[in-house]
Amino acid sequence: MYATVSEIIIFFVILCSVLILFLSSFVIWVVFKYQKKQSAYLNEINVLKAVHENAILLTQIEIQEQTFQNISRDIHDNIGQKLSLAKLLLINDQKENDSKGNNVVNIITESINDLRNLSRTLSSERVLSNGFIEAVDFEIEQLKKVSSYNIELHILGEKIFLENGKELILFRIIQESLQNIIKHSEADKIVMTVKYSSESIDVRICDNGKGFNEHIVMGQGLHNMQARTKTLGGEFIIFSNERSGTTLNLIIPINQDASI
Amino acid sequence: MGEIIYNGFQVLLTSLYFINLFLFLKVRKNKNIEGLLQTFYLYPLVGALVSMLFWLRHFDLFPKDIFRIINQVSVLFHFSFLSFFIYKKVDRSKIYRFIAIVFFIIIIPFLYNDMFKGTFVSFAIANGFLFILCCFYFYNLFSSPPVLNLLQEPAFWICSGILLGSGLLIPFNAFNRQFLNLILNREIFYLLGVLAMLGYIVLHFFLIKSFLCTRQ
Repeated sequence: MYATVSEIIIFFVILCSVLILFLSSFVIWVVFKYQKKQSAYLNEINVLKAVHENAILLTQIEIQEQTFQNISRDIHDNIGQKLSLAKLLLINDQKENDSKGNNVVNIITESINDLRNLSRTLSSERVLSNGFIEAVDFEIEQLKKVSSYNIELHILGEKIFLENGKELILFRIIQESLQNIIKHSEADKIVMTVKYSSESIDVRICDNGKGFNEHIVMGQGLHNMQARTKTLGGEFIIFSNERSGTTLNLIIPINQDASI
Repeated sequence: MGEIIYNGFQVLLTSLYFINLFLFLKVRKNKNIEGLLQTFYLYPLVGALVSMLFWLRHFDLFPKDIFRIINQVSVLFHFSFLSFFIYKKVDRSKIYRFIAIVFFIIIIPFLYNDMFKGTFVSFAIANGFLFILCCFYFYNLFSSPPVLNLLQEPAFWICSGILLGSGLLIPFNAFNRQFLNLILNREIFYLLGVLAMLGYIVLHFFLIKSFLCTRQ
């Protein structure tokens, strides 16, 4: 049986169309499949990158804490002891009504107290043994002693203790925030609110200082605080406008398994 | 009618050879482009030369026998060049090396022998090999980390063009002699010629797309 010309033409046109359709579909399928795989791969890379960055940050925090501990111990055990000895020797050798000697003793006493406070601030013992609220309270009391700040601390809800490492990181963030207010804000009033809920700890620190434009000024200190908050899986929100004070809001999620 | 369509497609193919030659000559000195693409202008250059000779022969300005030999050599060049390009693009483990060796040792001489006998079975086999090499390229894409921007990757478009072109040519190369024997009709002869050209036209459109990627 012989095929007609038109039958052969139709056969080839259909064959050609089917082939083009099939092969084009294959190429399109390859593109879609590859892009899907690429998207999954990039997500995986980003997760690994975040984990890696977190690990680096935690190591940095650990090293910093260790350095703080060493300095704190040195101040307490070495410089503090020497100053105490110097004070004792001065008192022993002091003649009656020696106003100069009294002044020196007073200066040394103040220095010993300042160093002791500095040592306590640097030390993580207070946070680790009493929790970050006690440590913050202590920090505020120290600030009140040495400056004319009006500082209020409000605690709302039932206290929940985080893991020690987390409490320490949270304390360091608050400590840095207070240091920033003292250094830059020109404020005279600071209000700190710590609100506990079943899901998170909400820390809000407000001052009535000169403020800043948070879109322009974002120094290393703020970046560090932000990065530390990230390691806790929390949110770091800052509201500030020039001449209208600054509010820092930290929302730290509570890992139920880790809570006591 | 068939001859007019055939010549029309031949004009289109000639134009595509020259367009691609012009485009790939532009990337020749671009140091940011990989070496393999810098030499890719050779492929449309050979196509353009053969196409010019085709038209000279068409108007009886060039001897037919010499053109036939040149055309056959250009076909060998087509298979060798493209298979070498894909071979360089895939992860060359033992299996790929084996395929490349098989292709160069067995297929090329077989193809050369077949062309002088006037059958196209070896063309089908050679196109089949190009097709398989393209499949290896795609397999290789998925077996390595997906770091390429595929739509901006010249090699992807070239391999896609080869896949489509060779995929279209395989059945025509394999069966055209049987069809020509089945029915001796000039229209069918031209139709087969047009359909065979379609594979090359598709390939050259993909080459233009691959050139556009090199400009990114």
